[in-house]
Amino acid sequence: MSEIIVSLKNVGLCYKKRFSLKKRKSTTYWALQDINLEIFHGQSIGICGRNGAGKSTLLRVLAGIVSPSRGMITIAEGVRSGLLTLQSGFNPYLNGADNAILKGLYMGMKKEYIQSKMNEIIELSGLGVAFYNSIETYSSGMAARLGFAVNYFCMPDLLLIDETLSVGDKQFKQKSKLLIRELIQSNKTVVIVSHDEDALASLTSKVYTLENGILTS
Amino acid sequence: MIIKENSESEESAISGHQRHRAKWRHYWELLWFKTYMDLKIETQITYLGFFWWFLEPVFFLFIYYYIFAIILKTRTPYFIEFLFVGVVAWRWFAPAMSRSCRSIKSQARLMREIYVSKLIFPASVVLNDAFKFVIIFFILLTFLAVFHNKPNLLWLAVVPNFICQLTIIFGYSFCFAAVTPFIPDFPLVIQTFTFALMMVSGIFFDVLAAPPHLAYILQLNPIADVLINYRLPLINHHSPQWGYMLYTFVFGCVLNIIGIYSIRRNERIFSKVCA
Repeated sequence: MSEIIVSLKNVGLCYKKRFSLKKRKSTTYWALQDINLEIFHGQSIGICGRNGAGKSTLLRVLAGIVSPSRGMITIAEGVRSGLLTLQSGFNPYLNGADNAILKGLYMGMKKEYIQSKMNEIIELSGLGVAFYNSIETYSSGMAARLGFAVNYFCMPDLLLIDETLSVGDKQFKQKSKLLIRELIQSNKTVVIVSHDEDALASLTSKVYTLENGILTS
Repeated sequence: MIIKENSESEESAISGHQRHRAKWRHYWELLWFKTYMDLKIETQITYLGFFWWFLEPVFFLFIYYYIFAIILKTRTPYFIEFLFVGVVAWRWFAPAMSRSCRSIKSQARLMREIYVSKLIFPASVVLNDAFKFVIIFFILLTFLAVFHNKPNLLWLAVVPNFICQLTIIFGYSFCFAAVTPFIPDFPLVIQTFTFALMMVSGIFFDVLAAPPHLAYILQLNPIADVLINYRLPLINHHSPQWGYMLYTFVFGCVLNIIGIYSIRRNERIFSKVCA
């Protein structure tokens, strides 16, 4: 078996409601109860669950964005994990090129690398001349296409995808779906969360179900 | 609550060190680019763009000049020069502190989706304001050179003082930015704190002219020392108080250690509490 890149042992995560003078009692909510999961290199995993089951929280734990409240997460050295995000990290007043560099830097890539990929980003996003206009002039579909293109070239070692992506127009949707499928079939390690079990089963090699913060296979 | 990375062999320890260096280099690259982009945004959202970086401080100083020299007819020698140095130096402290204390919290959306070191946010605010301070400071130096006296070697003492001021502002900014996500009322506290600091830092009066015991207490505030150490070489043709300069630097370093430690410790907590 290939190497484990992330393992979760008895991971739980709670959110605390903030203390205020009006509501003195602070309440806690356990979004993840007791998660045990091992992800191997090159594996593609689907996690299925209803709204509010803790899917997004689990992805954030895997991405290293939040630390668990209990339990242990072990990430193999040098592994870059990241959520596939479309519009975060963009500033409306900057043009596509500046935004691509800024987002790439946020995602841990080098500025030189992103600059070297600029032509390919323009091509994949299909933005053409609009690429050099400020993002505030973009439609939300255009911004999402730029986001997808930057993500594609700044791909982390462990790619985490939230829900099925509905990006841009029909043509681009097909293109992005194809790319995601290609990624999953390649050597990339991918975790996808969705509420659609059938779609997950067709895309990934293993599907887990997440319910009330507990993961079952 | 453990996030750990596997490192087994000696080889991986060496590559771990290299990775650590690469990580810090990446932070720098991100920090500079973000600061540059923030400045670029500022020029793009106004009609006059970067002219505001010159216009605003000039208007500001003119208002002070008008009030103190023309309306109040201040007779104290060199009072206008004294006031200008104080106001200009303060103009870096005040916005940097109030803006940086919200800097992490305001990035809640980004933090929920991408992991990035939160040190970047307050640091880029400080650098952004540092850039604008350098511009207004050169306007001030030009003013002093024209109306006060010729530049001389003593003026070079403002360089170490600038570094001390930068250290203090970084220190305060990191500390304040670390607290705000946990206590949403904190920016209001800072507003009051900043106002109090403005009153005791000797912008409008000379700390050194106060009775010795009072001056000693006032000089415990490093901002007062920074102001004094700008004024002594620039206006009084006197070397700065090196001892106090060292004090401000050490004070700043301690604040930096506390602030950076607090942010690093909570890197993966901020995104949870800012949600």
